[in-house]
Amino acid sequence: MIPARFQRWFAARGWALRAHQALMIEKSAARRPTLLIAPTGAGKTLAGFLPSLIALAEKQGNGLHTLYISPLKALAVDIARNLEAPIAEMALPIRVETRTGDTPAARRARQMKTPPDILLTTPEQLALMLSNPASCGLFSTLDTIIIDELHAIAPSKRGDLLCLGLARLRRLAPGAITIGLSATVAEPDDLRHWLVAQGDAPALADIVEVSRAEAAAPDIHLLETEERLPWSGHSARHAMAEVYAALCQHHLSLIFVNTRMQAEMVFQMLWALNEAGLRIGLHHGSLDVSQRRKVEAAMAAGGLDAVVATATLDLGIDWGAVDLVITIGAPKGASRLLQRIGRANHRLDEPSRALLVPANRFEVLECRAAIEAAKRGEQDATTRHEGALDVLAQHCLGMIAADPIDSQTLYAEICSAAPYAALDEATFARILDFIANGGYALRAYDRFAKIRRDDHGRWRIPNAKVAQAYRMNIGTIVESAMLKVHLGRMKAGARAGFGRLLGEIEAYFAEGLTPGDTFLFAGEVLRFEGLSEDRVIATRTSGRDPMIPSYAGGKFPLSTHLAARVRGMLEDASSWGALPAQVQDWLTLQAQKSGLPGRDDLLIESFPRAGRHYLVLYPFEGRLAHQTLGMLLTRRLERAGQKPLGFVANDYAIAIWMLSPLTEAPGFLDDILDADMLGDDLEDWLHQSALMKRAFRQCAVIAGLIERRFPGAEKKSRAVTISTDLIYDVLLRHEPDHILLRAARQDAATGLLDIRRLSDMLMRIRGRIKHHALPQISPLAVPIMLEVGREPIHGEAREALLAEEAGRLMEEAEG
Amino acid sequence: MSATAKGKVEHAALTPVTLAGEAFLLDPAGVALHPESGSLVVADLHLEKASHFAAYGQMLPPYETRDTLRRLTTLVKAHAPRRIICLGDSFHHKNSRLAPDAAPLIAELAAGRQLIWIPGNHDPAPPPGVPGEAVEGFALGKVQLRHEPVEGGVHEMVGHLHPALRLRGGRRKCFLLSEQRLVLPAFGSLTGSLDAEDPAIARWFSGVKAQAFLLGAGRLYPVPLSL
Repeated sequence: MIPARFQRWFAARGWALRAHQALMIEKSAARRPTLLIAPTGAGKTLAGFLPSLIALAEKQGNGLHTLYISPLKALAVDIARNLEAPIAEMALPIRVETRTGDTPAARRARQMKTPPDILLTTPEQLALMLSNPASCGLFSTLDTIIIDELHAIAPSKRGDLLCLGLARLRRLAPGAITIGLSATVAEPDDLRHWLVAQGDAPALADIVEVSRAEAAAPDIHLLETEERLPWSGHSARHAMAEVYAALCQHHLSLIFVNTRMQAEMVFQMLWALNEAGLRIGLHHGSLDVSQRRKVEAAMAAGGLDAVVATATLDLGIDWGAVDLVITIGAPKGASRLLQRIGRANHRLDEPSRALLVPANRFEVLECRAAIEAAKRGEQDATTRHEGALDVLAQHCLGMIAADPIDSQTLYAEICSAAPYAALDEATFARILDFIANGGYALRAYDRFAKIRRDDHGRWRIPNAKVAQAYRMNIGTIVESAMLKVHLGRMKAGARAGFGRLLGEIEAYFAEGLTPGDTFLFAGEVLRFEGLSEDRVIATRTSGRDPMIPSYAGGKFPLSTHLAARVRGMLEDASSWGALPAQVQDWLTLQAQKSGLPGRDDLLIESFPRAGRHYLVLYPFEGRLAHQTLGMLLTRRLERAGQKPLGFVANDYAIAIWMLSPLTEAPGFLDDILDADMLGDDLEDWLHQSALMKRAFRQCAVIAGLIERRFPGAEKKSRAVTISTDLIYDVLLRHEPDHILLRAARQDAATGLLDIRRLSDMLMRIRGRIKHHALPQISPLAVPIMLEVGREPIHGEAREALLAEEAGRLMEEAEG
Repeated sequence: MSATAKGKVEHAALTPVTLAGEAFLLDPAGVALHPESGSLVVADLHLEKASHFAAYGQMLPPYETRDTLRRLTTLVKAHAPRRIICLGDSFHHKNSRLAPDAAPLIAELAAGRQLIWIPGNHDPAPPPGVPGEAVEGFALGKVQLRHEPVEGGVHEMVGHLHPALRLRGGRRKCFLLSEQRLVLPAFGSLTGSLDAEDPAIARWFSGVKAQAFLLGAGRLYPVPLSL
């Protein structure tokens, strides 16, 4: 089946060719695009590359043969390392190179001129290459395209951009086949569509699955802590000694957390306990790239005993020696949990070992539900979404820059990409209009058009500057605005250069700091000195405890699947035996004092406390949907004269506080929780919504309305930034159905505001609201009530907060 | 004045301040009034900023100019001043040409009152055909009106700095006031702003007693400043 050279190599390693690897070779020979589903460590990488290695061993390549695309920079670098082993050991005449954001320009240029046989790269780099006219030649020799971690990238905007890039590659290399490598997913057919051209009949790639029997059942434990389980908070401070003990008992542990801030905190806490002198590393996306590389290399070389990491290591790097995966806090989704634990003991026939460490009592429930789901191999369903419009705009400009093209041809090419299969011509025309002149009904900018039609009806860019600006800003897939953090002091007067760059920090976090505040970053406690030209200036302090607590709840909300499981667990008292005693007691007490949420209803409690009146709801729909719900509910309560002051939300509950007790008018709660709130109320609120503005900002940057980088911008002494909030306001007032606003709304529906999820919930609980008016706080409400002091406050309370703060400062000043 | 989403207009609370013995009223929409002379003072309109950026490839909404002028018109209607004084940077670029749909809005502002244009660093003179008078400077009592502060400026009312202040609760544009000078926030719909603590602004208020008035919904928030 495979050439002798390879057979010998397998034998020398003590491996046998696995069934799925053999199948992949067959599929490649038959030129069938294929989706390979395998848990991490099932020899997925080798399965993906074997056909190419075999082909290139037998016949000398003549240009780029295989393009491998992975969502992570580090992954591409690591795969190269892994490929180098078989290539060196079999003395194959194959050149493998990587191209990422960190690859120097000179090397990139050389790669275009004399391409390697196998190129490993990222989606953003592919987009860059495709926008360059020289790329047509580079890709014409392409035989195979491999997309790794497809399950992770396909549902995102990066996935949309990549799918469009694939559509272009299909045109440049009609004979090439596409291979997708993926972890187990709930709906593999979605990915099978994604991989191939969609025409009049939706086409599917073939599928090869590594049977679940081959993968040993994961060995997952919930940490049964001897310490008191906290009610709320996300630091898991109480369990650190037990976590540290687990590190000492294993060879190499991976500790996953949900946010950068948690990573910093856990890292600090473990070092404070580190009597055995373990080598513990820290890895997250805000660290400088050189620091991240050091940690990755040290891990692979056996130079570390433990690494605290966020999602940057989340995807499938096969860290061979990891024998324990610890997740701090809640995993948020069954799929995420499975993917994370797939890292430990990556050899297929040994079980992955994992330890879940919940940070508070609610998280215990979530972890338990996740374990049950993982044992059954259940997956979170990913919602199919339409391709993002801002990504489409970015892509189309790139394609026009690469090669003049007429509307019809471009439209057909785009529709062949699954996320855009349903794109209508009118919307496509608006996108082209947007690229050309901003897409405004008021045609003020025709004379500045960025793209124009030539005599043959083909779109082209008028000059090289447009292409240059495009390339500088490509793929700025903005997840959150990040500000650079520099060491230094604020100097009045002359503007000095910036001190050493430490990394990047979330803008919303930096904006909440005042000079003198201390916070954790890159493993140390820094003192915030000020903001200068959109950069955070900070000094090192010797302090141990940062003043500013961070919002550490996580970027991902609790998945729908897990939420349903948790509600089911709560409803069924007989299942509580599997929970730690502390949690059982808590739930039992709750059953006595109030009641438990059910799977399909909505529990609401109201009680007085400290001069205020609280309304606590337990929808279990995740933080994002809850924030939206909280906003809408407070507006409705206000209109009904109930005087709400503000609210907080976490993944499980919402707490609203009011000046007076809830009205006893019958049916009141049913009315304010009616799904019609998603109509006018939502529209009204969207106006002022900070979340909507964030969605718009992302769309404006991705679509190319705003350029983040300009040639020569570094030389200017003052950064030329345009506030997208101001643009949003003006656009909303004058052209509310502008294509970018439409794109932002689309994001809001599924993303930041989770409107779809909220809508499903409201329909589900219709007529099933259980209200308990209590004389005091209930046990179940304690966690969310504790967050009233810590979580950001939303709603009209912001203006009140401003007034309060201003008043306080005036009083202080007046002494 | 503030307009809610449904278009209802609520009257805003004006804040009285004094500079060099002259009484002014600050409007949370970002303009200053001088009741004695019936003047309304506004700064940094930056009209035609969007079209300027569009020429360089960033197609900002072309509605920006009319948006700024409409907001100004609403204020003018509410306060009925005899005179409007624009403190410079009224036009974003020296070559700015007023879009056709904006001309009637300016004409309306100029009708029946004095319209004064003070030059700024971006606009040495208003574009041809724009009504009103272009003057180098203006005085209201002992207060000198100019575009940007000058060293040793004893009592001046200026724009140019685009001040804003960050508090818990948000970052807002603001007026800045000391015994020497009153700085107006930038009024233009797409104008950005700079933190008052930035050296470029702080230098005009260092070591003196000063206040910031943050633009809020329907009112100003006074905050003491020590820069």
